[in-house]
Amino acid sequence: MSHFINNLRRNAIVRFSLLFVVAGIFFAPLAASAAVTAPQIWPTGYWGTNPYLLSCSGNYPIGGANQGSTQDSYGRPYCSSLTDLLQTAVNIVYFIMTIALFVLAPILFVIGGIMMMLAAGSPEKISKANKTMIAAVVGVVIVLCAYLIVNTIVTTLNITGVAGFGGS
Amino acid sequence: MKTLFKISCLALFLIIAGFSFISLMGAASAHAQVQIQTTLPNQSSSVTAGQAPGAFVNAFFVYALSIAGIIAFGIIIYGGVKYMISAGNPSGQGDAKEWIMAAIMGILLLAGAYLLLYVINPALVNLALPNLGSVGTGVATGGLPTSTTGAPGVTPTGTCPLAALPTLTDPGAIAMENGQTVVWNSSNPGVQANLTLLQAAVNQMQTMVSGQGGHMTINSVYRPLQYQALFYAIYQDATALKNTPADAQIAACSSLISQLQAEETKHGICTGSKPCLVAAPSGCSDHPRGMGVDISITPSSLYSSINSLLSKNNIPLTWAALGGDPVHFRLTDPASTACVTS
Repeated sequence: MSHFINNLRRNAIVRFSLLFVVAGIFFAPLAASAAVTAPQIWPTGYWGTNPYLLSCSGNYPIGGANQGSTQDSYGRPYCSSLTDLLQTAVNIVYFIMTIALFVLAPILFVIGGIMMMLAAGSPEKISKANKTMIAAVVGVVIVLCAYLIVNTIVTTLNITGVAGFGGS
Repeated sequence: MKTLFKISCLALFLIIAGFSFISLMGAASAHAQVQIQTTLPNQSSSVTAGQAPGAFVNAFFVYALSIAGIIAFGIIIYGGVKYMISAGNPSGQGDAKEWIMAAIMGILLLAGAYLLLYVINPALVNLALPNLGSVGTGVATGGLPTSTTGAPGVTPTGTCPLAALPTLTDPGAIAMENGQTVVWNSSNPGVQANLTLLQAAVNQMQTMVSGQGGHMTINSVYRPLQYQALFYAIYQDATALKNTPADAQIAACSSLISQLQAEETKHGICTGSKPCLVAAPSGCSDHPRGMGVDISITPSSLYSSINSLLSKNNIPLTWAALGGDPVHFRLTDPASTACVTS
């Protein structure tokens, strides 16, 4: 049964890939404009900008107090719009990405190095240290590919306006 | 544990989607017209009040896809981190790979739904209601009754039931009655202070819009309360005449009716294809207070980014996008917010 599912899965991937190639050829590019933007993480990482991870760019709702303006009479911004919800989610994901790339991966790589130093010639310990260092590098590659994968799918399908992905 | 996490992810998504939908759709205000309280992030299909609900559902679909994209993005990152920290633990790394595969398959399936519909017929992803012709409100096209003479031998007498038109005394209102559309001066000092600020802000905005390769036209700025009251009186009389055309035959009404016809020729309200609809005068509206301006911008795509551009350039104007008045801009920090009485 699991063999069958694996087979199907592999076939499905092949089919989907073909579908995307065809789709990419057929769909004329449309202008995408998303209000949610992807934070820059290179070279210093995304540590949040004021007011940190929470996004407050919305306008007060029409029909209520301070309608249409970005802040109330006390200067408080509006953080409850649907755009802000998405932007906050994007910010959090980028923050996790920053932690993985700039904190976790270097530490794991250093731990691998130390393990190798302390192995004292034991082949078993050296191979364990090797695995740790390789996993750290592969992990970094996966994390860096995450944006690429989602962005490629969204742009190839030409779904316009998906927040933070697909075009500018 | 993994299944539990997946279920909670799904539940979270449904809760967020559900709540946003309820807060959007259920937020009917006290106005007669249901107004959508917020716009959706993808500005290419942002929905403002008064639009067909199909466009809103369409925008919400893309919004939900955005959430899915961000979740998939986050899960691939989680997979990468899991792969890193489970070094030397093959089952842990296999688990991480499964997470990543699941995320990719998930986004492919969701995007595939859009693709399938798009391939079958692109109109399927552009939800829209069938277009019905609009029904004119108030007085039907063709305007006021033209004849003041009744049937032969039947000329009703008595007092005219129609309200007399107010006399204009405000200089701004008289200027507008004489054909001026953009008025920057008011006899009220508080309103004048607002108008001075407003004029400076509009000039700044003009420079900014030109810099963006756009063009803007100022339609209307200060509208004195008296002027609005005059329009409203014409509208009310016209509506009354439509409901009881016999009033036009009352002898006492003849001077009022010729006055109404003169006003109608001058302003073109209630004539031709224009619907006869005039808002009741309110001293607390933006225009009589000198803090509102109607500006139409070309290309209209500039509206979607106009508020962020305005705040970036420190111009104290906000595009309010009011229902039925999509060109309305409001002074953010007026000198006087008091309601006016004349």
